[in-house]
Amino acid sequence: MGRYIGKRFLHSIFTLFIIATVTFILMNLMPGKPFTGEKPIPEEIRKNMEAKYGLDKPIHERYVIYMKNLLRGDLGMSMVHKHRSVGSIIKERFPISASLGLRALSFALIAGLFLGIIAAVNHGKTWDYVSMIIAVIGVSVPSFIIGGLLQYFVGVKLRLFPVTGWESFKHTVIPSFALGLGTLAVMARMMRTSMLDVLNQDYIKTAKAKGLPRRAVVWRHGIRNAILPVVTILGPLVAGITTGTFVVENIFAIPGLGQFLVSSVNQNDYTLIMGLTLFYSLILVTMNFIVDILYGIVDPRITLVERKE
Amino acid sequence: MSAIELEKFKPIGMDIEDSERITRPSLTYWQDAWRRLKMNKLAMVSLYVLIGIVIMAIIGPYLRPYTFDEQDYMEIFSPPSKDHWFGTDDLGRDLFVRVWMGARVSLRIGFFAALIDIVVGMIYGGISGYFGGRTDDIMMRIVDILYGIPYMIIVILLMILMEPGELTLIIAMSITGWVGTARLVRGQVLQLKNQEFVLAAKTLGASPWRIITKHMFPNILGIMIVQMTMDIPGAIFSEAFLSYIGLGIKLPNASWGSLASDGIKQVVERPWMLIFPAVMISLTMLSFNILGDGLRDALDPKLRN
Amino acid sequence: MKRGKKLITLLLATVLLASVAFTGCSDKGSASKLPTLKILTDDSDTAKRYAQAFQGMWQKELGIKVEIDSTTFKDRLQRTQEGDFQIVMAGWGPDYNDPMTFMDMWVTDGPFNEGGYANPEYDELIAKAKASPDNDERMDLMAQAEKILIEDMAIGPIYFRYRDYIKNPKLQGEVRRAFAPDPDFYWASIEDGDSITFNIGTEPPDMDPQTTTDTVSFQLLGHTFEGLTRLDQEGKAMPGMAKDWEVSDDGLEWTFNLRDDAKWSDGKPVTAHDFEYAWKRALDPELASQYAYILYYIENAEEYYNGEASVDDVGVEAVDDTTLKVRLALPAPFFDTLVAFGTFMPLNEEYHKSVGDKYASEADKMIYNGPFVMTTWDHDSKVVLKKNPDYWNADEIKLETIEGLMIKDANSALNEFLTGGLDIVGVRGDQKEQVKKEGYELLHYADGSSWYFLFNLEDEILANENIRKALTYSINRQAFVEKILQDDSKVGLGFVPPVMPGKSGSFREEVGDLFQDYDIKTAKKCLEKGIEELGLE
Repeated sequence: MGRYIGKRFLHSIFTLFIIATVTFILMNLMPGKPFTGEKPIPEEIRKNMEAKYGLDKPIHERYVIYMKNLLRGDLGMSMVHKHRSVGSIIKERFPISASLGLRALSFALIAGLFLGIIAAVNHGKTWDYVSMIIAVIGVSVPSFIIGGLLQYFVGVKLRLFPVTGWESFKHTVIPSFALGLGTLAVMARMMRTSMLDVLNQDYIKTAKAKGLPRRAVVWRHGIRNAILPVVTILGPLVAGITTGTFVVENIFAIPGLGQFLVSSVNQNDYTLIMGLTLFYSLILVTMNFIVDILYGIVDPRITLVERKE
Repeated sequence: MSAIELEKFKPIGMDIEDSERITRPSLTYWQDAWRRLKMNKLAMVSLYVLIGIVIMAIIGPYLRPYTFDEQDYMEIFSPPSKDHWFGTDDLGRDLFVRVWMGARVSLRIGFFAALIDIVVGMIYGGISGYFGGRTDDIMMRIVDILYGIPYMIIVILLMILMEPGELTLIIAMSITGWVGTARLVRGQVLQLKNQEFVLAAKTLGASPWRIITKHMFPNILGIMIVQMTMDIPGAIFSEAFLSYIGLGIKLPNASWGSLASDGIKQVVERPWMLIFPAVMISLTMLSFNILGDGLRDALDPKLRN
Repeated sequence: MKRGKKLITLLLATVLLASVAFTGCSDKGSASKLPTLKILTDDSDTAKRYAQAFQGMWQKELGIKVEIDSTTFKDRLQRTQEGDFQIVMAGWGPDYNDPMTFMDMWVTDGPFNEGGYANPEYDELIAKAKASPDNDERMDLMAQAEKILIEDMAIGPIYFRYRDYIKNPKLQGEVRRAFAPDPDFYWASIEDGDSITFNIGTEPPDMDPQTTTDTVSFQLLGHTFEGLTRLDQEGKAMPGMAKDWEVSDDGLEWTFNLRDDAKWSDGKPVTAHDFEYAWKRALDPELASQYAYILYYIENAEEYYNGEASVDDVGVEAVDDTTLKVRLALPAPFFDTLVAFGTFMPLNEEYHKSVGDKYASEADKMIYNGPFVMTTWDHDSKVVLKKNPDYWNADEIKLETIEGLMIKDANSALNEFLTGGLDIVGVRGDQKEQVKKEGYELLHYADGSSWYFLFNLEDEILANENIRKALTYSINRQAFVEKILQDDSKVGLGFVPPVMPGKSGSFREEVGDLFQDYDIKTAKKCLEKGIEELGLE
């Protein structure tokens, strides 16, 4: 086990290194330059700016410099937000995205599992259809439509919740709902499938045959076992939901990190692009890692030892 | 213990023929799946809805005397009427024609992105799972790396790097999209490769290519079809998202995503600009998802009854 | 019985077939012999919409096929600057209140001359105008130059932008204008209160006056800093840190007399040295300020920036604490309004040295000398400005608090206004209807920008004057403004916008229109001639 974790850790470092390299290359192929302003800058001024940020050096030299700084944990200064370091932007903004993401995820998890269980228990009957349709509607409407509609009708027309900002609990309700809908559907369907799978197992049939009440069968044997595969997709979902916050943050003017995902690329803010890519990669890699380990712990049938052929 | 009378029992004899008779009608896997799918009314409705949308995508633009890019400044923001069934947009273009032209673009993107995902995923996952060992290790390491890439940043980067257009969209979306499929296929292949029929084929000297294509793929085809019905709406959705952030197809072409993101800005005064494309997206998503669920149930032999 | 498989195959096959069959979209046949042209645009909704409108007009009126080449905003600017384009719709806003801010763009090899226009006659007129201290003569020379510019069709004018906005009826005295700060709340007040909220849109990327370039930062700096002068309601220079100033007869030597009661927000007096330090800092090649060029009117400024002169040669000198002497390279009658611009804001050397690199990174890493001070800078969320009690004219400032929110999405901003979260908000043309229904009165103002087609004169096809004329004349500006922009923008039939001053009134009105809008007849003739000249028959 220890050896496995060590090896996985090394792999993760390697993964991050490759991603950093690929992003660095792609980013530098991208058209545009960070200091191009609305008013054209005289040539000599631009040269000065580029020299200041080391952009006058050839790409391989810049790569080496970046990697060296990265090893020291220095992500550099943003090229657009002149006085902010990439590290501080991430540190300040990510907690808000994370909070939004977790709220959305909890909502999706609770509602999704509920719908999934209802559907599975009533397999093939009306309630199966009803809960699946509710779930699927969530995944059927793009979040910018849901967000825009909710903002106007619930915020402006009904005045139930604030329209923009991120200050009180009230501010968080619509954005979390809009962001969570997609995940809700994934959860619900995953739970349904997994639950159906479990309910068809022999031990469930045995339990039924023993005369255990239906509710006990579902609770004690069904849900507990069915929830396992759902837990395993939580990793990618957490990462997905935190990266998916762009639209919701934009509509509701929430000062999170998601907005930078698009603006950094649009503004050729090289250091910020690199910082964000690495940061989100780190989250993804860590999540996958944790899930694998958890899976091993939860399910004794899986051993975390290297297979020898 | 003598309450049972003897005459209540009589020998029925033993008919060899009879014992071999199959009581259930003989059905192939596909026939059986189809039979079960047919019983799922919702899935069937979805199937017909999708066929309807595809037919409209083909003939829709020819039903009206407008082209998708014909501007009419006297007709800007006209509500639905008998001249413009779905109304007009901010440049006075007919939305009925644009919605169905958009359907072609969106469906095409969805279909091809999903197709690439499936094909690449199946080949990659198949090879990795079948050969195992070192090959598997290296191939899965690559998959791990791709899994760690924040999808959105890369897609946006690629969209900016390449010429805007449908092909770019499809490539950008497939570049990491196949990874999930590859993992799924690998898992299935790992399970299958130790089963008797595969071992038998191996023993008889079948080539790996033959084993993978003839013995393994047919067994995972069902899962792949389900996967595809999930991938198509996923790609349509991604396209809508990219349209929202300003990256998408080449103008003045339309896609459902670009129409909907134009529409959401006008929702208060010109709701028709949002309603039609949004309903199309949702209907397609809904149908593919329900059909996918139905197919999964139908193709799963364990649920056979 | 394989109907199931068949039906699914059929479904997939239809999608596939449809895909293959419709990859080529139907094009209306056009008789134009011109190869397809490309119009470059950024990926904002409005820019893409305009490009499509022009594409449609050219196709319909002339049968010219134009492709839309859309890219990111940055890349559009970059490619324009590098000459990697054919046609692009560009806009230019004034830096100071004189037509020269528009006219000197197009001199041969000028830094902003992106189309590559070169006409010695034009250059001479501009040089003469720059050297002349006489206003009427300058205006005449610039009028002649503009005529040549349009005759050569170096650029194809489209429209002058006017914007709409709505406000809380209780808010009074806000000033909208073509220069930062816009809106200016210097004279603003609000009934039953003293605090207002408005939308600044985005995080100010750089609050350092000497290096910043964006409108959000200049907006906030305009409220929290004050230059030697500031702009009054009409856009004329009024006393700021300088209580008065004199100009020598040749228009080259300016003497500013600073008030002695002006203070920084940390209590230190604002002196002439703070201006000298700040201006020289802006020109320091090491700082690499993008707006350094705006100081080039000062003697030896450009030379210092380019390393051809030393810092001591720059024509700005603090004679004593309250006297600043400036020597200009050329007479600039508008120099008193120019020093109100953000880059000219003062900076206290001692304070600057004490905070070093952190200067302007947070609200408490700056000192202010304007009517307001920034007390909160909640990054990516909002800023709060509070009245500066030490400001010399504090008695005239009625607002206590100005809050600036950062809402990027225009619909969200309008929604925030409708629920009472903002006191003033800009309105897009297509939002007008809704706003009217909600019962708000639409207000308008000129933002001073002029929008035009920038042609790449080094392009094989667009080097032809007649082709450029055909493209320019065939645009229906009236319809574009009324139906597409749907705001109060004015048709552009010249380059300098109406808000720029002329001899006594507006330059544009004095000069008049330079060509006719929507002149299809001439456009067609020009097109034929152009095609002939290019040998495309």
